[in-house]
Parts: sequence; structure tokens; C-alpha cells
Amino acid sequence: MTTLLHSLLPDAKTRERLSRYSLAPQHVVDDRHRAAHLSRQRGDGLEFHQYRAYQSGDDLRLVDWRLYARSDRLFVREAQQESRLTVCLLMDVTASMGLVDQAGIARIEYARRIAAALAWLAVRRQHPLMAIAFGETTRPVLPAGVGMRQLERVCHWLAALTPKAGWPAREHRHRLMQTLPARSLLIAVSDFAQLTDEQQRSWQDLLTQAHALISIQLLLDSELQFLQRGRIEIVEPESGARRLVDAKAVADGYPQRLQRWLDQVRAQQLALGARFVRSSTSMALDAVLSAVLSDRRSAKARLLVGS
Amino acid sequence: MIALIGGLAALTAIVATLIHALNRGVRQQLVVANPELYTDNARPRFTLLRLTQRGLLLARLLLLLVAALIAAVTDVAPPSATRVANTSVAVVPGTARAQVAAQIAADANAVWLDSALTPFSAVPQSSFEPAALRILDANMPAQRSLTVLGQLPADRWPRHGFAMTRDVNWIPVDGTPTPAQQTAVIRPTVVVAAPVAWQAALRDATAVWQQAGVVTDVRVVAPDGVSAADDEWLLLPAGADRPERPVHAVTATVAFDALDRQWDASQLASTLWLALAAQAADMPSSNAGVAGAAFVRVPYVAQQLERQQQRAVPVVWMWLLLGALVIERALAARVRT
Repeated sequence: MTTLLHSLLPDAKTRERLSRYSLAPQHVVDDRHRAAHLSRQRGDGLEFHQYRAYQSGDDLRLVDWRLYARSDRLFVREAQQESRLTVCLLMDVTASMGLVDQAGIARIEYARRIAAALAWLAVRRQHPLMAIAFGETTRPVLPAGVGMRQLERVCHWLAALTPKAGWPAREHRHRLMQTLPARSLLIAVSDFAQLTDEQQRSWQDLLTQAHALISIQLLLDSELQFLQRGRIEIVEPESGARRLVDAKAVADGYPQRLQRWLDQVRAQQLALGARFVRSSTSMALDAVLSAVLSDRRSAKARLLVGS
Repeated sequence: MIALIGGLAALTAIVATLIHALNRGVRQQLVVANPELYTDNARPRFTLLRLTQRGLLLARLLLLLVAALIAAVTDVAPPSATRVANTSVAVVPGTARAQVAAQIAADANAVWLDSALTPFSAVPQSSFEPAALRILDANMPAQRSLTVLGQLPADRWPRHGFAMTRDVNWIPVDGTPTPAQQTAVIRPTVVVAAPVAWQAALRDATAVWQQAGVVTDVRVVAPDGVSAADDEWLLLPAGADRPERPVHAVTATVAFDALDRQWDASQLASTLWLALAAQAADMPSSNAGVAGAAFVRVPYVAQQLERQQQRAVPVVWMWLLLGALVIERALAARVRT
């Protein structure tokens, strides 16, 4: 494993926990295009499909030891695997992703780690894996591929992402949408702080293309509560616009405005049929991945922070 | 005036900068993803601090503008009589030389020695310069350094029986000083001490100069040499050591546009003297005794120093201003980070 992979991927213990999850559990895709993507492809999913003879290299955990006791032959349990759903990481690389929390972790850095962990799982589950950057970047699309080499490519691509002011041109957005395969699980990692109506529409257009959608909203702790005092110069990273505000006046209505915005984002994502997870960069990565991947049919939105 | 206004501007700038820094110091900068969350439903109030800061900023700009305008106007304006005081030619005949030398030496800190300016004959540099310097050295206040523009190298003075008792900066000048040496000599005052018989001729000569535009202001001091305006140049102090012949001083305050005419003090002095010599019917044909008593007092260095000091005031203020701006920027950057 290269140094880059090592630095981006979760540790072995976390990976082991991750490996128990299916990247596209039934309920995620059921909500949208239930019948469209499933196939009877065998794999190491969750629902039992059949036994087959053990082959060298098979995961020993899949060996049915009771059957072995009875038959004295090694059989592995094959489960119904999700179809070859292409997993597409959609990374927001607009300027606001470059903001840094109080602990010094940039939002994009946290997003990279989440994306790398999910990419690892996708490769492990033999999903084709691709990645799209949403923003001004020199390499907006990493074409789909499989295997460890693709994981390495994705990690390098993730590492090269740099948040920057700007928004893709309309034609570029169309091209991005066309790159999505017919069967795709789109995992969007963003702060969802799109500002203009057009930006909102663009983002949603892209999300609408996916057959399954997981939206992960990353917030900074400083966004969840406003603790500043005195006069504040507010700087908008996308445009560089600045304005002076009085902190006390801002603080007065901040929780309400924040809640309205969070509610709005959540409603939009749920309306798109997404599995929505909200976290902050101070949360443990395990918790976020668990919230993304765990099978909670009753809870389409998992809010690790905010309400 | 420029220094005053420039100083005021710089002072204002410093105060404004400090207030600005103070103002910045209480301001935090917050980069946010969603600026709409950070509305305070009111524009920030204009606090007294901000008003003061803006007022001082405006005052600073205005004052700097005025200072720049005055500086520009002053540089192109014709020299005024009040500024004509720096370059002097003193020709001292006879026994009055000691007194004149004392008068000159009292405030001289540079001397241009040019024997060609002596009215009586060409005096060898080897005898003229040491003699003149000896008189100067004896009459100048102690500890004052002197810049000498002359032909005879300083290291050869002792050979001619003279050694300065003070620090001397010798600048070799062979004939007319170079343009670099002349830069300060643009508005000379010429002081000529001459026999009384020359007075009429001097009047005529200076009238000619005036008509020619060389001289814009001619003042002839009283026959006894006393002038309220030019008492600095009183050439005939009362005392036993009176000259054998009355000496009258004529001060011609010359304000000519040397920049246009490209004249230097040497040319001016020569012109003055030639004019005098030509018109002074009873000019002594020779007087070897005055060797060493002909001074051309050209306080180049003094004048330059004075100008540098005049410039130095705003320059110092401007440095302070720049320093204040740097501090302000540093504070602002610190606040930002």
C-alpha cells in the first residue's frame, strides 16, 4: 500500500469494520429505481444465495463451518451481490470546502478521508469506481475502473483536489452529468452551501442523474454555533466579498437561520431520494462511515450534528 | 512651510494609522461558507473610532497634497530675496581683511578659494590659499569643520607654512567648480567690500545688472558699511584697526535665474568683479598685500546641508509614516490570521 493510500485510507481496524458493510444496501437503492439495478450476481453481499466449493483466496469468514463438519468439504456461502452498480464519488471542491475548523482540519481533508474509505469499500465490493469533482478543477472526472489500481488512482485524484472559487460552466455541468453511468450510486460529499438558485439547480440536476444517492453534508463546528464577539468582517470565499457585521446582532438570530438552512438542505436531499448524513469535521470518521453505511431503513436522514 | 505641512500630514497619518490598527484590532475576520447566515439586519454603525479614522485619513491626504503642491510651486518659483543669502563673494582690500575674515569666518563652514577673483592681481595659489585659510582658521569658532574648495591640495598646505587646526574637507576645484559642486550655488548673494570711490561705479554696475536681469534687487549699504538688513556683513567695525582708506560695502542681492543661465558663483563673481574693475576708475592696479584676503565664500556644503535639513524634516516624517503603515499592515495581517 502506498504512502498516499496509507495516509488517506482508514486504519486496518476500521477497514475491517467497514468490510462488513455493503456499500449499496437494499434500502438505499430501494427508494429509487428499485428494480433497475439489481441482478442475480453472486458476491459477498448480505442475503444468502448459494454455496459453492471453497477456492484458494476465498475469505475464510465466508466458509460455512457447520457444513464442513457435516460434509468434510469446504463450502463458502455466496450471497446475492448488488449489481455492478458504479460507485461515483462526487466531491464538492468549491472554495467553501477549503475552510478549516478550529482543530485545523480542512473540510476538504475530512471529505477526502470519507471518500477514500468509501472508495476502498467500493473496490472491495468489486464495484466499478469513478469520481467527479464539482468545481473549478483541472481534472473533473476520473473514469470508472475496478480493483486496487483504481483505488490508488482515486486516492491520488482525491489528494490533488484543491478547493477553489468558481463554479462549473453550464456545458461543463452537462458533460459531468453525461459521464454518470446508467447504474450508479452517487456519493456526494459537500457542505451543501451552494448559494445561488442556479448553483442549487446545477447541484440537484447532477444528483438527480444518479440511480442511488448518498449525500454527506460536512459542517464545521464554527458553523454550528456562532461564538464571535465584537465587529466581524464576513468573507465569502467564493466571491471574496466582504462585509462588516455586528457579532451580537448576528448571534441573535443565528440559530434560527442555521436551522432553517439545515432543514432546507435536508429536505432537498430527501426529496431527491438521497440517504442523507450530516456530520461535522470534529466527528470520528468511524461514526460518519457507520451512519452512511449502516442499515437503517427507518431513518433516511442521519444527523450526527444539528437537528 | 513644506516641512511643517509634511510633518503635520505625517503626524496625522501616524495617528490615523494607529487608530486604524486599533480599529482593525477589534475586528475579526470570518471566512464562511454561507454568508446568508451571518446577517445582522443592519449595516455596521459608524462609530466614533471609524469617523475619526476616516477624518484623519482625509486630513492626511489633504495635507500631503498641499505639501506636494507647495513643494512643486516652490521649486519652479523665482528665487526670492529672502532666500538669497548663501553664496557670497567678499573682496577685502587692505587692512580690513582681518575684520572681514572674522565676519565671514563667524558663520562660514565652507570656503571657495579662488585667487582669480582678487581685484588686484593673480595671486599664486600657493600663497593665496594658505594665507586665506590662516585668516579663516584664526577667526572661525573652534571645533567647526570646514569644507575648502580650492586648487592647492590640503596636504601641501603645511609646506606653505600653514596647517588647519580643525577638520578640513578639501575638495579640489580647479577654476570653476564642477556642476556637481555647483549644484547648490544657484542663488548667490554677493558681498563686495570696495573703496568708497567705487561706490558710484558699483551703483552703475549694479544698475546695469539689474537692467540685464542678472540682478533683481540692488541695495547699497550706507557708506560706513552699516546696514540693518545686512549687518551680518558689516565690514567696518569700529576700532583701531581701520583701513587706511574707507571701505564701503555694497551688497548686491542678486537673484538671478541661474538655472536658466547656467551660471555658477564663479561666473557671477567674475562678472561682478569685471564689471567693477572696468568701471572703477581709481581701482588700484596692484596690491600684493591683499593676497590671501580675497575670499569667495561659497558655503556649498552649508547650503546643501541646509537644504538636506529642510528636506530631512519631511523625509523623517515620511519614514515615520511608512513605518506606521508597515506596523498597521502587520497588525492587520496578524488580526486576519
